[in-house]
Amino acid sequence: MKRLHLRAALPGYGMDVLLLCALLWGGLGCFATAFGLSCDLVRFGLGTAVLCLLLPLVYRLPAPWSPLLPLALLCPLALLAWRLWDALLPAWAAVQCAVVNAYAEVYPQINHIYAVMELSEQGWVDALTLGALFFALLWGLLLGWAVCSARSFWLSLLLSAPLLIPGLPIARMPHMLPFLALVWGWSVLLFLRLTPRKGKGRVRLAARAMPAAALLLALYAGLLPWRDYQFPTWARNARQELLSTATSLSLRLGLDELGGGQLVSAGSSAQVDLNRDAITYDGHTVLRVKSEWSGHLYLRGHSAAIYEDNQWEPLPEDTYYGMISKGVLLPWDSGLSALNLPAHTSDSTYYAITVENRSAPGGCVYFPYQILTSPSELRGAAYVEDSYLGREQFVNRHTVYFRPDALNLEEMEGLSGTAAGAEAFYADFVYEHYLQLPDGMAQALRSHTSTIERRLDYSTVRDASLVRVMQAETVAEYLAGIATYDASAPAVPDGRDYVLYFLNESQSGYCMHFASAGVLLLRAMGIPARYVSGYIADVTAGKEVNVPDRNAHSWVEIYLDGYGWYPVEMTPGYTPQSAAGDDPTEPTPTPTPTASAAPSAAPTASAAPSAAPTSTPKPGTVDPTGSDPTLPLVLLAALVLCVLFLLRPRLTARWRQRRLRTLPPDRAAVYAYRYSRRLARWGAPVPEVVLEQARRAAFGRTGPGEDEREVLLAALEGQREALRKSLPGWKRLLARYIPALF
Amino acid sequence: MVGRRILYALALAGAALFFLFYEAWISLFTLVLVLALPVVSLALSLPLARKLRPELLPPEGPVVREGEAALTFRLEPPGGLAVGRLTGRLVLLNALTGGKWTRTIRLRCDGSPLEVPFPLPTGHCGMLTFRLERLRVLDLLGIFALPVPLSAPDGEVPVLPKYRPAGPIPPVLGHAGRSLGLKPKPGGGPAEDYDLRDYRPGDPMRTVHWKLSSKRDELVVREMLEPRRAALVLTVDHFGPPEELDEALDRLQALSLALLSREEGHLIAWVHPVSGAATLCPVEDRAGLHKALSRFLREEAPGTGRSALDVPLSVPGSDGPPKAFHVTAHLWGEEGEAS
Repeated sequence: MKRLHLRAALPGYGMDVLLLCALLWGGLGCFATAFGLSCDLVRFGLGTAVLCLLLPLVYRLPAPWSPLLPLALLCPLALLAWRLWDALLPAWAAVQCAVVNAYAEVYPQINHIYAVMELSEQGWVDALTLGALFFALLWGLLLGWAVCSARSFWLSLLLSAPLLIPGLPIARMPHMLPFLALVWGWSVLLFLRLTPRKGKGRVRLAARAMPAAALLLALYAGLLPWRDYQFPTWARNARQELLSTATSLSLRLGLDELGGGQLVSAGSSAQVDLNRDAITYDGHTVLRVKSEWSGHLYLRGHSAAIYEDNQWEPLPEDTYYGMISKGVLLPWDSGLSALNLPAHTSDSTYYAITVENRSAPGGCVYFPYQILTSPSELRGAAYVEDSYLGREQFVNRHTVYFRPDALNLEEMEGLSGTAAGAEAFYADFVYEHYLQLPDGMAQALRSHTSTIERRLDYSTVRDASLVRVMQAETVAEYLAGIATYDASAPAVPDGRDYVLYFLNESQSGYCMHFASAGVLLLRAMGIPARYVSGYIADVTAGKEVNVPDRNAHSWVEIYLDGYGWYPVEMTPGYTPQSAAGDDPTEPTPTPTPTASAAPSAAPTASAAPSAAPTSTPKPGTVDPTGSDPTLPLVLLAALVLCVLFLLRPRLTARWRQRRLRTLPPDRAAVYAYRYSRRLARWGAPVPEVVLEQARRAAFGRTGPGEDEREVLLAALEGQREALRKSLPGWKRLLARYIPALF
Repeated sequence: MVGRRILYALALAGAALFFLFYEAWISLFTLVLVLALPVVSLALSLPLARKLRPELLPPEGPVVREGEAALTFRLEPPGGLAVGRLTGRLVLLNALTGGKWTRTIRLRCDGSPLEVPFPLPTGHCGMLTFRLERLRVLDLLGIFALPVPLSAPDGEVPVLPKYRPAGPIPPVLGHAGRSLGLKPKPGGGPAEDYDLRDYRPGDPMRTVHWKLSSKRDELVVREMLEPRRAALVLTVDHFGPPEELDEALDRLQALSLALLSREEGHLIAWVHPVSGAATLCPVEDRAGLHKALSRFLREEAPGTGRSALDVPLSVPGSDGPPKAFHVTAHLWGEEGEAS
């Protein structure tokens, strides 16, 4: 009898041994092979085999010995580890060194560590083998409980996955064999997860699941190109598209503002932390631009006014009190913004541009120079102080008008009327707030500014308005002369000023360095200036152009009296906003920043624009902004239709029931008959009661009475139920939603 | 299962994201594994699902109102394999009262034959029809519901009236047919009583009373007579609240059994509560009574309807108008008298 019992228990025991072995050996093997830890395979294999044979026996002890006794064994074993710590320490040190050094190879800021003890190679192997076996004993007790007692997939996964995970962040792959063993154990436990924990049926099922899982994994190991694996190009493209969609979605939901720009890609933001590491680009589209003008555009985002603690920040809101409200210059009741003042200095052609924000951060609308659209004409956006064009949530497509010829200062006609008055008033504000420098900065920059001032050549300036432009160009030339462009410039050391470090020590940097230094130098020379960030783009009239994130850029705006803010390029290698050449269909290639010592040309008056579009509407008449309001409406309408479609059967049934109950009995009988005929077309015969009542109602001398209504309703309900049961699922759905029969 | 499907969808999405953002073979391996596991699970589960033959066994003895009875769900897993999850529902419908009950089936089987009782709602008389619906066995991962073929997915169990002792038999049922006299026996044949009458053409010659004919000088025939017997009919209304129907049926059964004990065959009759069409069921023995009651219990009884008292009953083959007695819930009131 006892022999029979043993024979019956043997398959279950074998199943537990195999599963435990796979998880124990596979888990430890994955960890060891991922971090290159070598131990004596024979001793380790034998040790784990003995453990795997013993542990299921221990967990087969009758209650309450199992699982209390095996788990209680953990305490003396922990005590034993404390007593044997000297013998186990080399193994612990070896594991520590292997893990930390593996991470240090990937992350340079982590220092390599080395074990202080000196052991021979065999000594390390022996120590590791001992350590691994001891760990296997401790861990096996826990794992044995999960596999043999609790028989839980989740517990087993929770206990064994931590050995696989540490190598993944640094791309340390385990060897295939232990990995397959681990995955095999997980797969079998997953297949057995729903079955009762005890009983022969589980073992019989395991006997089928085990070879199936093994076959599957063997096929994978044989078919998947894991030795010379190349990440597929389509997957890379899909990742790019996914990122674009995710960032676009986060923008639509306004998450870019909540996350301070951390959730999305490079672009403009109200606050610029110059200590941050250089942003990496993956080339995904941030803006989609369609313009009536061809040429090279600067798409402006935020501007910043205050330089402090290596950060650019906007002016505090209360600064604008009495000056600007809701983006409109208050004095003179001009209805103008500080950002669209310059466009009024010219009477040249204006163009429409539609900017679709795909994943650009900052919560702003990126617009070109010089924007003409007035505050009252904006839809889905609004001027915010004198700093940027704020974007309404869930609106990501805007159309604005701009006048590129207003950048041509030589042909500037100047402001007049209320615009001139508003500008004069705003100029005082600008001089008050856009010449600020941190304490001691003017002295620190004196050597640079004196050199620049010596280089100024006023003889070339024909117009008084161009003096400041010439001065700004000279600053740009100076910067290009002393510093080189380096997109991978290292971060500024702690405690050092960003601009001074750039000017005096590193003398290499990218657009943020050049623009920041340019602003401070200009201010030190008495020229109001501010830091601006955004994108550059080459557009072709009538064509949509994708602007990738790597087109993010920063530059400088200087203030010109009687004009407004004027963009100046400080970074060498970049060209200012300009129209395309003779052939307007050929876009100017997007300039790529190169490490060039040659100074870039300061922005000059742009060339003549392409032919004026004939279809451009008057900017002051109708909405010039394009927030595409139809899309939400269409979505809403679709949603409403969907809801109505889903609710229709229920509403119809309620309406029908009400009619059957409220109509006079004879009309109700005829109505019920008609409904019953409709049901009959789907296969449920008209009940005799319904037919009889309908006949009496139609032809009889006396129609059905009020007391017969319930019978009629019951008969109809019966017919409906019979039909519902007789129809297959798809047909039932069809009958419910197309003719709304029930 | 919905939870497991969501979990699998999350795992699949996680594996897809892991594949897209982790450029090592392990990510591809994980994705393919997550995709392939359901296929293996289906491959292992489908043969099992096809071989499963669950049965729903009705109770062995008669089911009496307010008695305990249960349907037995029986499952013998093929090959003694464990069954992860068997789901479905058992729908019970009382044809007489229209009551409906649904029991959810969520079972697991460790490989040994499984028998699970499902108590029957015996609160009211009626024909309980039972039906297994949407019986599915889940695959090993629990994300696919595989239909289980059913040999006999439905059946019926009558919940019969409670036994109660019969009270006095109503006088109208008395001893059937004694007061109605005699009638000519069709076809003649042996009989205790006879009558004499003049010969009519067509009378068989053997019925001629030759002695008397010779005395009277005209043909006189002997016409055999048999007692006239009126049919006994127990009527009952097929509508009303279930409680009243239950009481009426208890009394109907008791009365019928009492008549049977006197070896008096009778009929049980009721009319359709809407159309008024009469249903007559002959009761000659207990089997006939069971058959009549089953037929009664199978038809739905609305709250109101036409009474058997309002419809004249005609029993084919009955001598004269039948002797009908309408059984109600008030028969044999508290004093035990017929009312």
